[in-house]
Amino acid sequence: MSNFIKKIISSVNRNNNSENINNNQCQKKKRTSISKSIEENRQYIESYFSYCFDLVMREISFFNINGKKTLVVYLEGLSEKKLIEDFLISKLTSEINVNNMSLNEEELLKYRLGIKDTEIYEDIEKSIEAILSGNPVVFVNDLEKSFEINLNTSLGRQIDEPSTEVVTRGPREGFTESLITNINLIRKKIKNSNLKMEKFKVGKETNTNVVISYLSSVADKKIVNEVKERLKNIDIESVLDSNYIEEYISDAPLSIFPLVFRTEKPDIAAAKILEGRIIIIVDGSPVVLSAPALFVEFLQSGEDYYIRFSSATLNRCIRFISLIITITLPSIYIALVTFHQELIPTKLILSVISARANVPLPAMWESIFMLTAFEIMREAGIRMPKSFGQAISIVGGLVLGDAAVKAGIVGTPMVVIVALTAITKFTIPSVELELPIVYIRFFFLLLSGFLGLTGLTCGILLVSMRLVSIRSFGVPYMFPICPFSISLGEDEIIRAPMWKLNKTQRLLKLKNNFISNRIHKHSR
Amino acid sequence: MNRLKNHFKRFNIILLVITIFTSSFCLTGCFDKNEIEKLGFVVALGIDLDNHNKIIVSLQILESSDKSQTEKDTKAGKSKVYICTGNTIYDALYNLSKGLSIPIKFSNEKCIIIGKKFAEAGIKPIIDFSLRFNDMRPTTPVLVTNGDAVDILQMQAPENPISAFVIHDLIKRQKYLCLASTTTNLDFANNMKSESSISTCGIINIDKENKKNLNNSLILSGSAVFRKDKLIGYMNAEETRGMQWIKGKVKLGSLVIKTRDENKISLHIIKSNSSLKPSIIDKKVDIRVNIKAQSNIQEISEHISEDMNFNTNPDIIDRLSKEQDKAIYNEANLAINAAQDRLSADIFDFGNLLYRECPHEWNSIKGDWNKLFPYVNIEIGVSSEIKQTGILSKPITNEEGN
Amino acid sequence: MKKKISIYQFFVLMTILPYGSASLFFLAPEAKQDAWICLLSYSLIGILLQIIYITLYNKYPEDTLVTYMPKIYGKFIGSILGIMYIVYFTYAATRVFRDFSELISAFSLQHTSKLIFGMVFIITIIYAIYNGIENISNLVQLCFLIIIIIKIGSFFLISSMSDVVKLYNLKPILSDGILSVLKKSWRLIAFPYGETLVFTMLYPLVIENNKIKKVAILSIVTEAILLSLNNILFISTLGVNFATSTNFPLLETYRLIQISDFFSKTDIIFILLFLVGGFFKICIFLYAAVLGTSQILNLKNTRFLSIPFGIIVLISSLLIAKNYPQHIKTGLGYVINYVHIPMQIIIPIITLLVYYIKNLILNKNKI
Repeated sequence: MSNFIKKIISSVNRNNNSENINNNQCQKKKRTSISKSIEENRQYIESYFSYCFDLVMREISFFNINGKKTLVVYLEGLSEKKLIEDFLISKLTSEINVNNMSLNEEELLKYRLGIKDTEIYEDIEKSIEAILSGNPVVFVNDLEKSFEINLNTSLGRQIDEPSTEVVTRGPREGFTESLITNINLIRKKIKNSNLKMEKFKVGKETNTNVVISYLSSVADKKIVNEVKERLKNIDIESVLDSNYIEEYISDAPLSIFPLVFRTEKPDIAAAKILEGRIIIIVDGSPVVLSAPALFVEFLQSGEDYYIRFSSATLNRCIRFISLIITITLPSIYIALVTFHQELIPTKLILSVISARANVPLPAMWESIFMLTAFEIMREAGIRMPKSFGQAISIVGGLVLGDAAVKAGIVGTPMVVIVALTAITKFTIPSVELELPIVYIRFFFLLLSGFLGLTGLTCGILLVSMRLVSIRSFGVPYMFPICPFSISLGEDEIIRAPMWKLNKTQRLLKLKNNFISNRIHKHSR
Repeated sequence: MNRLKNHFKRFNIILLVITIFTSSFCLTGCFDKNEIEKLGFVVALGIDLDNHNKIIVSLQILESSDKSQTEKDTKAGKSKVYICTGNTIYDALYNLSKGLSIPIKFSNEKCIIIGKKFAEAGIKPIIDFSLRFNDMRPTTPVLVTNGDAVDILQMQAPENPISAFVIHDLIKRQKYLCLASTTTNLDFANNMKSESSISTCGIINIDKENKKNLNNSLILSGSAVFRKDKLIGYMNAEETRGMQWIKGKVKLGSLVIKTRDENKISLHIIKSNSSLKPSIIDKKVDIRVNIKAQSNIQEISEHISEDMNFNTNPDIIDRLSKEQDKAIYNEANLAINAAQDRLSADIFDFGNLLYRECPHEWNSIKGDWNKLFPYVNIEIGVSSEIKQTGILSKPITNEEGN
Repeated sequence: MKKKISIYQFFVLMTILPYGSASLFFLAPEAKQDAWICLLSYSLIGILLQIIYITLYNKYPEDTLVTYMPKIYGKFIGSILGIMYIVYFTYAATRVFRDFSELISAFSLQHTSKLIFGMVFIITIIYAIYNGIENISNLVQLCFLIIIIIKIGSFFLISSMSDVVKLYNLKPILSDGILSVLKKSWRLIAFPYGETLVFTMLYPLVIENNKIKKVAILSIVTEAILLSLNNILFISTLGVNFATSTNFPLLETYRLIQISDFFSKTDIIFILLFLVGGFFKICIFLYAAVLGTSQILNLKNTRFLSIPFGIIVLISSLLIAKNYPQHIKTGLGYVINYVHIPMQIIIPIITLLVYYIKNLILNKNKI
């Protein structure tokens, strides 16, 4: 009998322990070495870049040494023409005094043009990668090496304020799509040699650069290693935005709760680094990721630290209360109106009855209908052209709401409840939390329509149990609230004055109990 | 990739289970659900006994205003009275369903009104029903009327067409003014099982005496006395207040005292409490009551011949407070006389007091308490103070009385 | 065993366990208005019981109740005792589940069948146990704070209404002397104080082992104070006569809260608070049963065991009693006499004695 049970359990175990199949078997890439003849190199590169009209290959003389030629290869759009002319071509065609030179060609090129040792390649594949990054590559006759010259300019958007994270006080810069600019913005904030930046290439087709950045004196080594492991194990075709990476490295990708924090502002990213978190910057995306993430982070905004602590604490309290209201208000209303009518004061009952007397739908379906209509309006409002937006909001709000009530489709208390729910949702600073709130709200609504306040309590217990069990990179998701920590609660829950904050522990210097020894993806 | 596949497999099973559960939830429906507009909220319950010993239950149910939704109607609200009969109270309510199309909910009930015949027969059924039934609160006030409860419920007072709200407000006021006693069904239940087993409750009647008042209105005054659960007698408003002086429940009100030359002064009571000291010696019971009160002078009426300048002669206040002591003493005496002589009922709950303070001696006299009570020696001591004289310092009329 | 619970979380777990269902009932109705004195006095015996359990634990610091039974008694008797304890914990969880189903049926969901409410409730419990004791204790820290805050709020609300709290209802105090009152309420040893036996399954999971004794004694004292405060509250507001006639005296007290029309009839909120307390109690008992089973059967992955146990609890809770009075009579009558006293008191004492005797014999043999 016990054998039978053991068999069942072990088969379940096997499903669980479907371990990280080693995805990063380094595929041995074919490495072709550079040939001495420029012609062969030229043909090889041309075959690689066939049908690319923006590939430019120019043969330039090697300083003024006769008989030596160089081949300069670059992609036209990625490097600025003026820079190539001024810096590379003119230098290569300049005169040098050869006579008492004891340097060979490689050293000559290196010292005259200031090329890094890491940018001297011995195989064609790496040279092609360098060309694709936008830097011109120089091949020299009779030399089996190629030289990459770092002339990369960052094109792209200007630095401006991100539209989704608006603050009234505080810095307003935002990240752009260029990796170097983003790294610069962070380096400007933290002038510390412990600020490490490690580069990875992710994506088989796109070969996107991904940089992780952390403060080595503060960040936990286990978490850093875990992040690096997960990045290396990503097996993906293309990476166009940081979200592609986030879904791969997140602990529970199917969970509705976001387990990786995102921001578009460098000051917030710098604050995360200083707390011991790890920032992941993806080339081509202005949104940087921060791991591990805690639930309370999604309720904080950077502005909390740019205004006085008393105002900031009040704002935080308002946000907590708004979160609770936006999740539970429709379900409490439904539970009161259908199950627990005794909780409604007598005078209010008369107005609720007269409002509901005209409505054909039962209360629960009325609220589901109104909340769905609101979500539709919200989604439509994102794409509405700005010229229409103003008129429709007035028309929609006043006329539609009022007309719907008069026509008897919905009742007035329901309109008030939905309006309150919607407004309180917008106090939450982080965009990631908006849709999880909608899911939870509907879940509570269904449960409370089924069993009243008792169902709502069971729903709250279920959701809180789920939240408490999630681990983000080994750190409990509800950290300062659930394993309750007063000293950290000062920073996360209310905002203590600045002079007190400096003395509190860094967030992630946790006791070992909280970070499990085995941090792996199905961590519980 | 495989990781995600395994995730999906587990996820699918969980999703399937959840779908089965939720569909069974939403499709089967739930018996406890009641749409609010389809409920009848009872605001007052009236119980009577008819000649054949069947219980007549009358309910005052709130009615929503009609669909025209004019401003006036939505504010006041209306009510309707339904009457039904049956062998027990719940049976009568069940019979009501023949005529009333909506389920009823008692949670907003403001009062229970009991007709005279039912009170004399014994109100245990209603007390048990109101405490056992989940919907009804243990804080519902119980009132008795001299006639039938139905008339009270059907009456429409001018200020508010729903008489239950009028009664509720009247009860709220009398809680501190104490011209009628206010008890809840929980107090009744406790008193029925207590050592003295006497309870009192207020009396509500329609004001038929005042002929000039064209619109009928309700009057709450006096109290009815119950032994266990049967009505045994009545007390008027003054006796009720005397009883509440002794119990220490008077918190507001007015008191009329007479000055040396028989002129009346009205005092406004601010505070009062009482302390009771019992003693049992050789089966003889002595109870000493100390009443403390504070009041302000509210009205000096008629001519005052003497010099009543309070601010120059504060001694006048001491004299007046002695008069106040006398007045309170008289009221309390009224109540004691009514209790000991007329009703022979321990309305002051001294039985419980003796049980708490002297349990062993009480055990020996417990059985004869009803017979012993009329001979109990109750001493009343009053110490009262007059604190302020209002805005005026001396009376408006001058000393010669002009 | 892997350490998962911090000492503060352990304290909260120990305090909330008896409180979960003991606060629903009038625990020593024969003692009438002196019940609070009995509660406080029997806490001493509760402390004694805890000392026995902790002494047993200190002999085998890595073992739970189920695993050290075989070591003391030998494999055969030990495993039988272990299985008995697992069945005992499941039965305790079933009783509490039935209590709460009845409570919700009586007060809020009268026409819905207990099966439907039971299904929703058992799903939350199964999910909680699936996530493990670590997460349960994380959550209980938060919920304990909320429960205490709302209780203090309710004290204030009740006392702010004039005339409702009549402290003189507590008199006469000890009119017959303390011994007679203590004799009448001996059942208090088993329920609530004996229920802390379930923590013998959780001692090895606590991180700071050396502080367990202090914390256990502290929590029993806190528990006693909380329960006697509850008792004083409902006796002084309801009066002894009425309090013995109701099924749930503390809830009746909360029904008396009536500040203005707005704040009256709020008893459903307190019922939900009790439900949360009961949820944790059932979780702890059922987790102890699941842990015991996984230890006896030497399983690695214990999470999926919660599903069959949950279903067993749901079905048996509907079967154990025909109606509510029968449930109460078995619970406060037969079960205490014939089940709780042996399992909670007699067997641990015998186990301790057997351990000492074994040690003596072994030492003798060595010499």
